Amino acid sequence: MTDSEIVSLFWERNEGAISAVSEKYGKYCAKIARNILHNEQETEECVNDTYMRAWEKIPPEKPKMLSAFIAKLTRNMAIDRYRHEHAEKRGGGEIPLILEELGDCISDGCSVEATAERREIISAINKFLGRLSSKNRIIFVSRYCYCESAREISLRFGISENSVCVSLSRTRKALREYLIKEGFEF
Amino acid sequence: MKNNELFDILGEIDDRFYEEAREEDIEAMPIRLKAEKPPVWQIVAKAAACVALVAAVGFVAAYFINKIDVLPYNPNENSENSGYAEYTESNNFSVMDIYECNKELSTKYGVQSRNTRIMDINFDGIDEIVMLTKAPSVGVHVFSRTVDGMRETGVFAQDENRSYLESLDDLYEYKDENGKRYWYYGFRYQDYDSEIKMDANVAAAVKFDGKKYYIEHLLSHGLLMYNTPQRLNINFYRIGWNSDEREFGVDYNDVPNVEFYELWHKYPGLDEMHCENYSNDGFEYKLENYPMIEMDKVPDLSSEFGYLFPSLEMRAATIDVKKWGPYELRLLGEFIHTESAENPGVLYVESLTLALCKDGKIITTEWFHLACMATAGGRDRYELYTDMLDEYIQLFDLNSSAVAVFNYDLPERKKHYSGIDFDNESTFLAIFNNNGDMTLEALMGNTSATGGSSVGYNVHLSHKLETNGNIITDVNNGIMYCFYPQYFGGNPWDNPQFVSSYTSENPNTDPKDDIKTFDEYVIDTDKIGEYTVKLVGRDVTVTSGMHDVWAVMKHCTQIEYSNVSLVLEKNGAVITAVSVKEQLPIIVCETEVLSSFIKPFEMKDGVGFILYTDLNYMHDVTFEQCDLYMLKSDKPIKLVRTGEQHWSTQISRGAEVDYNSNKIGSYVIDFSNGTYYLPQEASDDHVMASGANYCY
Repeated sequence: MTDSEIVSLFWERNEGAISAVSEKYGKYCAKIARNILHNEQETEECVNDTYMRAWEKIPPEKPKMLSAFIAKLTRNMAIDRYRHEHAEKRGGGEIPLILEELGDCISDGCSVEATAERREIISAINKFLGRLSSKNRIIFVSRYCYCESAREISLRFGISENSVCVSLSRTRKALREYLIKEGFEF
Repeated sequence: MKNNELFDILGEIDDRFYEEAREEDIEAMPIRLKAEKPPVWQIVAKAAACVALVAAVGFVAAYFINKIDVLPYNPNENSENSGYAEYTESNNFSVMDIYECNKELSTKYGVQSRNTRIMDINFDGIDEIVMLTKAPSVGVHVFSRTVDGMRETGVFAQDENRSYLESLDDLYEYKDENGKRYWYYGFRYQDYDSEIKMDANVAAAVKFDGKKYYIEHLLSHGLLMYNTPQRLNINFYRIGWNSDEREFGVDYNDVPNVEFYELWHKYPGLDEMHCENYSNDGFEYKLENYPMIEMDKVPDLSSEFGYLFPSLEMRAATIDVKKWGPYELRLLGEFIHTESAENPGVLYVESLTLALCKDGKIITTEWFHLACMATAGGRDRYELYTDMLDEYIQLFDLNSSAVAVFNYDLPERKKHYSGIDFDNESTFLAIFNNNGDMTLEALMGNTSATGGSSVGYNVHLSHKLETNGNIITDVNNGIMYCFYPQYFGGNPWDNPQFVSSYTSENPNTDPKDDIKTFDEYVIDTDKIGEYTVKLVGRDVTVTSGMHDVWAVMKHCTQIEYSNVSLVLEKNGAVITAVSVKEQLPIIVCETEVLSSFIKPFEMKDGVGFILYTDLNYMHDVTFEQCDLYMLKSDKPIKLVRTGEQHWSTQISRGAEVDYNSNKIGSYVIDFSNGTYYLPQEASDDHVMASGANYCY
């Protein structure tokens, strides 16, 4: 079933939409959630929550790229669940490492409170990512959006873990410099 | 911004990037709905009941509103909620006219206006009321004044996507060579399926043929991505547009890119054309496709097109070669041109690759594309200087392996062009035997001793490098890099592949001038009322010199101390001393004068001072953490923060003191119990946003 057909089912409030999404993107969502939660039960719960959330959001939303729409929902749900479960704990999984790595890009400063500023930063990051080579961009997105480990990424590309670390480090540094040049103060 | 915020923001990047990075083969996992979640039909029923209730309330409200003849909307209401807020009353139309039009829309089509504009949509000299509706398939409706009042006289963009017109404010006026006028707008279209992807920027016009309105697609440009074995990406420049026009090899009124550029720029307000995407254009990465560069064959373009159309550039060339036994390290460039009219002596290169070669073949298993980030001039090209093309890579023999240096920056004579803030890049790489195969990999090392990071890239290198065994010395900066070949190929987070340190001949660390060692050193002092407060460090080392701060070398002063005390004096005599800090370095950059660390304040209920404990200057921005003290009973008493205690306190040096409120910056001090707090933390209902307390 194509994405537009699935979205049409959502719009028609046809319960078959959930089954269709599950069949087409269930594994995809599970992988994303598992990367963040590292717990099968929580992964399963998170994916189910994703379907319910998609049901709530479509309509009025009408995503053109359902895979990315679902991926973002899953990521957000998994992160919220992770933060709730790990509020007082430290260590375990990739998230603490990822947050530490992202410290290269930024420093302590004002939070991004205004919606408009947040949109501007997202737009700037999109432009930055668009300029990268495809490989470096996929590595970066795999790490910080899909929360994959460096090892998983290295296996996927058939390159060393060191190469992944190098690519990520360089891209983080370049992102920081780019955002500063674009006028985002940190 | 905190790490958490950036992490969240990264989740909202463009859908294309998610799709690109999606991995197809994913392990199966059974999915089933949890029993305790309500079934979908219950959610649907509940949602339907809510909608019915809202509709009923709205119906009743509309009935009564009509009865007492009151406008249901405030004309000044937010445009998201009403169709009124986008206009100002003109001589021709009033609020009631707009209300009538909206009412007609509602009656005939069951929708409201989302965006209203009074404009001469058909250039007949008479304004109309134009309404863009909330339902895309209902389209944009035109209302004119007739003898019978406001009547609908036209409609356009009634397709399911409303022809991608999102706001009437996006319409711009255009007059062609024949004096014919129309409104135009731009939109972006992206469509993906398993075979072909289209990413197009389109210019469209709203036209009127005397009887009806219609949308005409004027121009389009973008990218078609074919899912062939070569994964071809083709840029297109087209008169007109149709989302179905994407079959490979068919001419759909395509024109040359430079000609299209002229046409596109006749329409101000459209998105700027971006650099062509030529990745995966079928180019084969073979050494024979990178001939040694011949400058007289490099296309010489204008600065306007140089970086915009890679199709006009030299596709690929070898820029430099360094030999190591039977191996060659080659610097390969792609998309190359010159702009001799504006910048003579410069070679513009879109991407650089370091390739390890042997016997005429590239043998690296990993491509090391260094796509250029934006330079200070704002263009996406490396600028290589033709009189130093052999200086961008160097190769050093470590016997069984070799270390290569890629060193890109502007030469000294050109730095005034970009100032100090330009793109630069210097990297160590190793050529080594990795389990039987000779390979080329970038290295990561520990440069913390010389102001860099514990595991990351080295500081920016000068071009004057000397080697001795496993050590490469940056002579100009007085920094040694010691390499560990046994860790090449390993995880640098476990074992850094090189470590940096200062040389004894470091010109910037002359003990006579720049390193001072003290038994006791007054770091700062200030008077507060009758007291004098001093920040005194013991076993202090003050170093002045070049430090790598965020990988840009700057002249800084660094203070390292092992024991810091606050000393309180009164009438010239020490009355107390309090230890305040363990060993920590403070780096003060771009100034020769040590900054102050004590900021005194006087308030209605007491006196005290801020002690800045963590200080960094960079690019004219200050990052500071601090503690607060009050002076009481001849003692400096550290104030305790109530509320969220794990957040650090940051108060800018320019923060204002509110004498009567006992407030400095955002913080309020309670002298009676020696505490301070942020007012929002005092509320039990306050929910702490991540990082919110860092604002000052």
